[in-house]
Amino acid sequence: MKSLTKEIWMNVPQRRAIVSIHNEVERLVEQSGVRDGLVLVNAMHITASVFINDNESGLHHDYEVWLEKLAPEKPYSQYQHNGSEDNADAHLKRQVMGREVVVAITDGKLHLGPWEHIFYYEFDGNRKKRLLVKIIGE
Amino acid sequence: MICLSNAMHITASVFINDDEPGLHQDFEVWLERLAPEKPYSQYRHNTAEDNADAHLKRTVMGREVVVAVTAGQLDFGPWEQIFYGEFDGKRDKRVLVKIIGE
Repeated sequence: MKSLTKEIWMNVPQRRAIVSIHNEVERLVEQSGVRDGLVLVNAMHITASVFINDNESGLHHDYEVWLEKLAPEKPYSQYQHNGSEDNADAHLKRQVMGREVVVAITDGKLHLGPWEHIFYYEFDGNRKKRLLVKIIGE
Repeated sequence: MICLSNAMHITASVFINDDEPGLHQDFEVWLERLAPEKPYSQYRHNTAEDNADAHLKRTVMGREVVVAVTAGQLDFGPWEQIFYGEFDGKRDKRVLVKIIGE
């Protein structure tokens, strides 16, 4: 069995943002030499997400508005977590968006539907953070 | 062995929960409350399409499940059942099943 493990560093210069990591994951799959297997891509931080959806900016705006409605950032004091921190909303938002994706690899390539695109979603940025890519297979 | 099962479309889900029609109705009502379909105009995505709510609903329900396979069978708890959730139907769509291991 072959495997490849890579930590990708991010540093998003704002509190929240959606960043495409699709091409990077494709490159790593190619690098791994795996023809048939799985790739796990997950955020290594509990205030960030990895998810798959549409590469369309209108939807990305809708996600921001919707998540703010479900788990508003302010007032900070509404959250018991926010004694010494201010990022309780980031923990909740990431639960809605998810921690990870697991994608099939078939014939050496990501096995995806027509519009599936892999993203990292930062909810508490302005600092260095990691995501993990783990590829296993033959 | 493990089994990945995922929706190949960004307006559909694969998830595991109870095979009980009352709960399925509850999911429908709850998802409509969290991410209402209408008015279509409330969503920026809906300039050319009308399915923004489907993208959001599938986000709540999840894209995929990964299930253990032991002694040739899916390793489930007592009530776990796998479902496909369609949020923008009336066209051909796909689910992927990938099983790997020994």
